[in-house]
Amino acid sequence: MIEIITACGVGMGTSLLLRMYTEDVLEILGIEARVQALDASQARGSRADLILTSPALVDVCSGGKAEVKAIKSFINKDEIRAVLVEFLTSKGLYENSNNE
Amino acid sequence: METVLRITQFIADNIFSQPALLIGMIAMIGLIIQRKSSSDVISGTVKTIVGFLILTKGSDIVVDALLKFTPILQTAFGMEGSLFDAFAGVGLGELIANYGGVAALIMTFGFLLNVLIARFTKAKYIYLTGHLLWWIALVLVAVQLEVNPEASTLSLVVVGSVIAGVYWTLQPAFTQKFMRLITGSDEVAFGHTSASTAWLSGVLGKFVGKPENSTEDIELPKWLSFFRDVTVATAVTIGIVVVIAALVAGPEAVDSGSLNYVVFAILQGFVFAVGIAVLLMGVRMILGEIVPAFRGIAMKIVPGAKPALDAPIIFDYAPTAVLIGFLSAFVVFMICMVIFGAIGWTVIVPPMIMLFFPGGACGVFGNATGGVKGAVLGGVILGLFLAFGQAITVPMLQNTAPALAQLADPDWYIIIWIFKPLIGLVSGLFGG
Repeated sequence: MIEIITACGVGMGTSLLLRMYTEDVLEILGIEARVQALDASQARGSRADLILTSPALVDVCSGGKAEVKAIKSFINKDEIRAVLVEFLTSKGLYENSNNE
Repeated sequence: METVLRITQFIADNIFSQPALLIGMIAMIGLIIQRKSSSDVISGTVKTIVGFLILTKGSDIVVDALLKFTPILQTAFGMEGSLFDAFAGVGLGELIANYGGVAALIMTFGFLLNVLIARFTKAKYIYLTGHLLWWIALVLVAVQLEVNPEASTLSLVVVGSVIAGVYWTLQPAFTQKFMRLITGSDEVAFGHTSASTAWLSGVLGKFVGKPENSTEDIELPKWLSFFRDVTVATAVTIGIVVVIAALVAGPEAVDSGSLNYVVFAILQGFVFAVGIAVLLMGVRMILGEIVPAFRGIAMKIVPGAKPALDAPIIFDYAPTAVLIGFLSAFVVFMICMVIFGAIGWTVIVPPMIMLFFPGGACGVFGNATGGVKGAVLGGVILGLFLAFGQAITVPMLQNTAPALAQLADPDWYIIIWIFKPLIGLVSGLFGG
């Protein structure tokens, strides 16, 4: 199962929201994944496959094993979906059959 | 019949008096309602219980560090042994360990009240900022205990839930006008306890500047983004403050054992940051299990509900305003700290998280109506509010958890200022 981390400054409010929206999108895509909300510094040291965070925190999150992607609007499911589809397709975990 | 009574008694004695288990139970019910697999239910419940115990320990570390370095600050300002002697032995950890279960019930029933009000009125806001559900509930417990230390669990829960539920519904409604301006849509609301100062920043912003002179047209130096990592920012800022205070106070004033007094001071700053980090980790573990369940329930009961979300949700609409708001709040707070100490009033401690997130929110609100000057003004308002808030409110929570007032957002202060006298008055009237 792939592991995704949603990260924000303190790892409480915003990252948890992004986690919930990410889980919603993953469910629609039919992808099973473990999503965890953390603060940016902890996210960097983690062993996840993908870190989703705000553009301002990409630098703080980068440097570890995970791929880091920025989400501009944490509440925009279309944006989250686009980022996830791109990542999953590049890993061969999702086939973009609908040509979205 | 007797068996039923015995079971009820057992639950009351062993679960409701044990906050960790009670919160675990709330999480478990939430996970079951979401139809999670049994392994998810078990791991989520355990995580919540462990998270609660971590939260208690983190609070102990924070208070312990405060008790170690506040006397140094007091000596530096020539105010030996005044305020903080009274605090020894009274702690945030203790309050949470004894009344955390009551706070968890307020959080649950207050949230359900929020959902009901949203269901039947025009205020369709659901408050989803999890950590503030928790902290407001705890503040309401502390306020009630200050008025009546013998208050029953039932009255603590009922009064607390009503105030919390109404606050969580009305606060987002209050700030929505500015949220439409900032986000350009009406889909999400602002759910953060900096709302009072953010609202004021939005209202007053237009008198000092124009939104056309936006903060987003200016470039800030890159090193400033160092403040975005709150653990680092807390450790460094508190460390510097304590070191300066130790140098002013002199080695005799610092009870550092065999350690050099400056090294000791630096370490205290770091230990404080550790306490905050541990405390936040505990809160995170609890909320990660409970908030998704709350959200699931609310969205089913209230169609078309607007989620009221944490402050950083607006940060990317004006990232520069966030840093400007924070910096001006920080500078104003530090000036107040020096003035309050110099005139011998009281010692206040810079709460970095509360300066950063509410400061950022005030910056964004101020920028929306007053551009750069509005963002600066927003920070000034917050800095003043937090400085005076801490100075005034710490003594108001003297018998429960003064540390709560040192780690508070503006709305916490307002809630304490309104409800401590009000609850006192009401319970006086009814012969409490």
